[in-house]
Amino acid sequence: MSNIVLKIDSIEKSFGGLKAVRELSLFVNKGEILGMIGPNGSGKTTIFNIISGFLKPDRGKIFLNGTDITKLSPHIRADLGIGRLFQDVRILKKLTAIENVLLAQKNHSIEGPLASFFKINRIKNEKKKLTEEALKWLEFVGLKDKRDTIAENLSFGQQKLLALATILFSDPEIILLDEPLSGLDPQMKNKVLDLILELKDLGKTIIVIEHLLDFVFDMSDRVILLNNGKKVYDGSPKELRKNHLLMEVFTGNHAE
Amino acid sequence: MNYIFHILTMINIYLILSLSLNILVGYSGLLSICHAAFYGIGAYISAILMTKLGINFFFALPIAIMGSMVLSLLVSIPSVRLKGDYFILTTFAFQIIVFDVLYNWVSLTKGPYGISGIPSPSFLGYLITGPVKYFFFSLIISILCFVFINIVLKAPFGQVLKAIREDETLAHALGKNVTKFKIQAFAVASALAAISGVLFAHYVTYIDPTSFTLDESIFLLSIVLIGGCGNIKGPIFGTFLLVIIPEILRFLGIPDTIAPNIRQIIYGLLLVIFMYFRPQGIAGEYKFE
Amino acid sequence: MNLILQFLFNGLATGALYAIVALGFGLIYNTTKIFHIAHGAVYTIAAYLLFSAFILLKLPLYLSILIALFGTAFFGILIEIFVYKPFYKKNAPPVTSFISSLGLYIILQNLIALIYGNQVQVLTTQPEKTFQLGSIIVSRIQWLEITTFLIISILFYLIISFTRFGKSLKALSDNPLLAEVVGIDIDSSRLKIFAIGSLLAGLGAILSALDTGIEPTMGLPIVMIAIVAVIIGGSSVFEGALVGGILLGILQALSIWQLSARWQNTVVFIALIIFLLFKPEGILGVRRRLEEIKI
Repeated sequence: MSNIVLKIDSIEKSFGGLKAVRELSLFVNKGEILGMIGPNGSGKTTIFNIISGFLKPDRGKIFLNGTDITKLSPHIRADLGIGRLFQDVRILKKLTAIENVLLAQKNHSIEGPLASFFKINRIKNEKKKLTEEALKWLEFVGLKDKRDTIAENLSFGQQKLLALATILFSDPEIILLDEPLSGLDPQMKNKVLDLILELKDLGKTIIVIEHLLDFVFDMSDRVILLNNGKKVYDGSPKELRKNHLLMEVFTGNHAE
Repeated sequence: MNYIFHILTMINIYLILSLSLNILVGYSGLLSICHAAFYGIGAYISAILMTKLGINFFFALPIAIMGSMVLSLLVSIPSVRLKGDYFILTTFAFQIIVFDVLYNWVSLTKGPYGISGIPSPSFLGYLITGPVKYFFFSLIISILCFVFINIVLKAPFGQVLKAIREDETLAHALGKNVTKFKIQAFAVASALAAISGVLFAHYVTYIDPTSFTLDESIFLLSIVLIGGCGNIKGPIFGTFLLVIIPEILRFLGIPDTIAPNIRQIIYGLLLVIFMYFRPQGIAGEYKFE
Repeated sequence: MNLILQFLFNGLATGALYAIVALGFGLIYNTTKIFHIAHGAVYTIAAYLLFSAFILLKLPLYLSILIALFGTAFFGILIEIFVYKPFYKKNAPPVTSFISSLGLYIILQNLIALIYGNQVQVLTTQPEKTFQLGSIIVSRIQWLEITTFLIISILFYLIISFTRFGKSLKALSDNPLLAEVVGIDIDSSRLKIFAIGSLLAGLGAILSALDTGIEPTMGLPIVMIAIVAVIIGGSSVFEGALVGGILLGILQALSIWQLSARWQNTVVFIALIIFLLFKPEGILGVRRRLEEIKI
C-alpha cells in the first residue's frame, strides 16, 4: 500500500451528454512505468487533465502518496509532485532553454514582487544551486549546449526534450507523459525511448500515453487499455499483445 | 522656459504611469482599462489627507500608496480569473465606478468642484513648488520608480509574470499560483499609479474628477500599446510620443477649441494603425497571441 | 404607490431603448465574436444623420428617419469592410480588433464633435406630448420606445426561428468553423449582420435623439449599458440582450428612485460585477464549463 504513488478511485467525467470517463480506477506503483493506450477519444488525455487538476471529475477521488488531491488546484498538485507534459509541446518560446527549466523551481518565496528587496541573498544562493540542477537535467536530455538558445529557435524535437527537462527539474513524484513520441523522427523517437528507460533506472514513476504500441510495450511495466472511457485491461504488456481484446478495441469492434 | 520644465514634469508623471501599466499589460498580459482610477485614487487620498487633515506629504504618500493597493483588490479579485473580454470589462466597470464615486461622494471629494489649495511638498523646510523645482523632484521620484520596476521585473517575479502571459496553463502546471501573481501585479501597478497621482496633485494644486476618466485610462493604454510593451523602452517611447503630440498641435497653431478633438483623433488613428500593422507597438516586445 | 409605478414604467421605456441597442451589439458579438465598441459611434452617427436631415436640411421627419436608418446601416457595413474584415482576414488575435474598435470609436466621436460642435443639440423645442395610462403618465416617445421594442422582439423571434438567415445566425454563434463547412457564406453574412446590428443602434439613437437631443458623447454610455445588458441577459443567446436591456432600464429606474440619478452607472456596473462573479453565463445563458476554457 505504501508503494502506491498515485491512486485513482472510481472517477467519472461527462461533458454535456458525453461520458468521457466511466468508473475508472487505477493505481501506479513507485518506480513503475504505466502505459495507457486506447483509440482516440477513449479518455486518455481527459484522465491526465483530471489527475493534474485541469478538470474536476464528476465523481471519484484521486490520491497522491496517500493525500487526497481531488479538490486541489493544478498549481498545488504540481507543487505536490504531479509533473505534466502536454501533448502539444508547451514551453515559453521567448525564453532561453535554461530560463524555461528554471521556471519550474518550487521555492515560491523568492517569487514574490518584493523578494528582490528583502531576500536578495537567498535569491542569489538559490540561483546558483538551481542553475546547477537545471544544467544537470539539460545535460540529461542532451541540450546542455543549447542552454542559452531561445526556445522558439529549437527544433520541435528539442522543444519536447526541453519540456521534459523542465518537468524533471521540478523533481516530480509522478510524471505524466502525453504522447512523448508524436511528431518526432525515428532517431528522436529512439532517443526519447532511451531517456524514458533511463528515467526508470533512476527510479522515476511514469504514466505514458502513446499510440505507438511497440514503443509502449517496450517501455512499460504494466499497461492499461482504455475504450470509450472505460478501463478494459490492466496488466502485463506481454499478455495484452497476445490478447484479442487489443485488436477488437482498435478496430472498433463492440466487443465490450 | 518654464513651459518646457512643465512638459518634462508631466512626462515624468506619465512615465511612472506607463511603466506601471506595462507591468499589467506587457508583462502579465492583463489589458487593464482602469489605470486612471488608481491615478485618481492616489491623487485624491493624498489631497484629502493634506487639505483636510494637514498631514505631511511624506506621510500622505505612503498612505496613498497603501490605499491604492488595498482598493486594487476590489478589481483584481473579481477579474483575474476571467478570460480576455470579460477581464477588460471588469476593469472598465471599476473605472466607471471609481469615477462616479469621485464625482458624486461630494462630502468626501467635493465632487465636481474638486479639491483646491493642495499644498506643495516641503522637505526639511524647503518648499518644492514651481515647474523647475518640481521637475527635479518628479525626476528623482520617477527614476526611483523606474529602478524599482526594473528590479521587480528582472527578478523571478517578472519571469513568472511573463510565463503567465505566454501560457497560463503551463504556468499552472509548473506550480505557479497564477491568480495570486496577477493580484500581486495589480497591487504593484496600482501602488505606482498612486505615486503618479500624488505627484500630480501636489504639482497642479487643484484636482477634480475630470482628470481621471475613462478617456484618461484609454490614453494610458494607448501609450503602452503604441509605444510598445513587454519591455522597458516601449512605454518610455510611448510616453514621450503621446505627451508631445498635443504640444506639437499647439505649436502648429491649432486653436484650443478643437485641439482636444484633434488630439483624440490622432490617438485613435494611431491605435487602429498600430493594432493592424504593428501590434507590438513602436518599441515593444509583446504582441498578443 | 403611484410613484414607484411611474418609475418602473420609466425604467421599462428606457430599458426598451437599451434592449434594442443591446440586441444590435449582441447580434454582432455572438456571431462574429467582435467586441464592437464602435457600436456606440454608429449610434451617435445615426442621431447626427437624423439631425442633419431633419434640422439642417429641413427634410420631413419620416424621410429624415429613413435616411438616418439607412445611412447608419451603411456606415456599419463600411466599418466591417474597412476595419474588421482586414483584421479577420489576417487572423489577428481578437484583442487587437477590440482595441481598434475602441480607437475607431474615439476617432468617430471626435470627428462628429469637430463637425457639429461639442454642445447638446435638440431636435424639437416643443414640449413632449403625454397621455395618461391609469395612474401613469406616458410620453409619446416612451410609447414609441416600448412599441418599437415589442415589434423588434417579435420580428427577431420570427427571423431567428423561421428563416434561413436566422438559422445561419444561430450556426455562426454556436460554431463558426462548422458554419463555414456547411456552406454559410461568412463574408456576406457578416455584412448583413453589421447592417442589421447598426440599424438597431440607429433605431435606438433616433428614439433617444427625439427624446433628449444629441451630443457627440452620447454613444459611449449607451454602448456600455448595451454590453452589460448582453452579459447579464446571457451572452450566448440572442434573446439575452433583450432581457438584459429591460432589466437594466428597470434597475436604473429603481436606483434613481431609491438613491439618486447620480449613481445610475455605478449600479449598472456593480450588477455586472456581481453577475461575472456568480453567474457569468447570464440569466438565459448556458453555463459553459470554465474548465473547458482553461485548456
